[in-house]
Amino acid sequence: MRHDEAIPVEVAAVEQVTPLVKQFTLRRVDGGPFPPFSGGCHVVVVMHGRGRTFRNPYSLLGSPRNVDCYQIAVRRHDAGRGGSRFMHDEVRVGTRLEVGHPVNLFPLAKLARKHVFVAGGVGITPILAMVDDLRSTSAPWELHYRVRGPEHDHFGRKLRDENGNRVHLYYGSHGQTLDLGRIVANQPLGTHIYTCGAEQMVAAVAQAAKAAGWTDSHVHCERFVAPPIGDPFDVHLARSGVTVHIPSERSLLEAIEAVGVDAPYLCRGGVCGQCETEVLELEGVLVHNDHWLSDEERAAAKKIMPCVSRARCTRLVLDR
Amino acid sequence: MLVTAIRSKPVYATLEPDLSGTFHLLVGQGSGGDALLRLLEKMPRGADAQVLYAAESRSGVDRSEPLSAFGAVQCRIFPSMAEVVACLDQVLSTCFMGTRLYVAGSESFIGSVGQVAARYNLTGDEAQSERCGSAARRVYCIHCKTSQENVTTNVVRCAGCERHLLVRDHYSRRLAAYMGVMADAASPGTLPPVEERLA
Repeated sequence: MRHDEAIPVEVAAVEQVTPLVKQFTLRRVDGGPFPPFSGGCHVVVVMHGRGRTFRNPYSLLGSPRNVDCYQIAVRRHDAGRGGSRFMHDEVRVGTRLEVGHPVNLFPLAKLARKHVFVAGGVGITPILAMVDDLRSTSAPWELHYRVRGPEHDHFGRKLRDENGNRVHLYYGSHGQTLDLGRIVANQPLGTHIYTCGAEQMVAAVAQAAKAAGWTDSHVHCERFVAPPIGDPFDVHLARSGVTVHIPSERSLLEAIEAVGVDAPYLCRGGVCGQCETEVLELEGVLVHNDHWLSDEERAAAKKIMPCVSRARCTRLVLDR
Repeated sequence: MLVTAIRSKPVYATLEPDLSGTFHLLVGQGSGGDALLRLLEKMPRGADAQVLYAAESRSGVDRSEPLSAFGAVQCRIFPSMAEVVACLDQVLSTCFMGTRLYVAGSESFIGSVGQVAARYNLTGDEAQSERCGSAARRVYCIHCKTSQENVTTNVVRCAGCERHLLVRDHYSRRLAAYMGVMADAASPGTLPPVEERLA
């Protein structure tokens, strides 16, 4: 997907659904329907801030049967690069944004005999659409959803109202914790488990499933990372012949795009592999933040994922 | 003249214990019994395992006795492959995630087991199969949809429609058979030399 293929949209509704999360309803400026999508899809939302363009991936949480609008939920990150703050502080009904085409890096396993979802906080968003997709199948499912407390539980309550006791809610403020060992135990053959939430939760689910004998093909996770803030550094783009300064609060990919160099991407969260770039010269160390490169590739320092990774270096030359 | 370099042709391995699993289901037939015995020897003592075995075999190999005598694991012996496959269906319906399936026997048997395993969404990382004994094929006539067993030649006469079928390497996991296509469709009566290829 490229920026020039983005769809102009207008914000049709904004709702503060929890103390930290706002939900946005987007309609196409041309009034037409959006491209179809499936549960688990995300879109990259393009925000034109003052002197700065943000491109953040957000899961589509609305029903895949309705493409008259796209719905996303944005958690406010005060310590982030500024995209979520922009969505919370600057975006209101009528604001123009752009969205890319939907991409699914977190699809349902269509042949599963049962689906188990484990989510934390705003990690519920892709699962809202996945559960909606399951209406057309007979496969049983269950959801285990943990939030800080009842005031953060807008989506959980909505799901429980619609689906009853398939939905299990856990409130941190009430001392309720996920018993992952119990969740993965005694699940019928052909069960698939899906997690979306903090890295710690994703890792804990994977570990519990492995301990119970689950194979990797049945364990799915959404583990987008927001590009972390880091030390500023300079990068020379060999093919484009330009040197770019990467400030602390801007990702390598964002800075490359800002000088007009066309760089591929899909997820902007370190999972899809699309932006993989060859490192030609390095004096210093790469700070890998992605889930794409193998441990060997990280150690070799010949490749970098500019959407989330950085460097602490005196010199970096990329094949871009 | 078998059409080769077709990637659907199954690749088999030697059964190895996968100790990341919590329950091990061993299913075999005929000379596959030897592979199951080898696997049981490699399994650590106390591993939770069960054996389903059919004495039915084209070659006459029957390992019912050593399998039953192996001890420590439950072993159920059946006279026919069809009964093993039916029992497997019933056992899998009560199994939990963490199960590993090991299959040893003829390709037709492995294919029939695979059809049942697929209904339970058992995936490649949960199941292993080792082909034992003859390389005879189950061939599916794409014209009349009749399947026939134990085909060892490159050309075979269909038992259903009597067409001469060229046996391709194109394997269907859904049908658990190789595809047989009319061998002389372009020039009726002209058949490639019939060769015994898979004895």
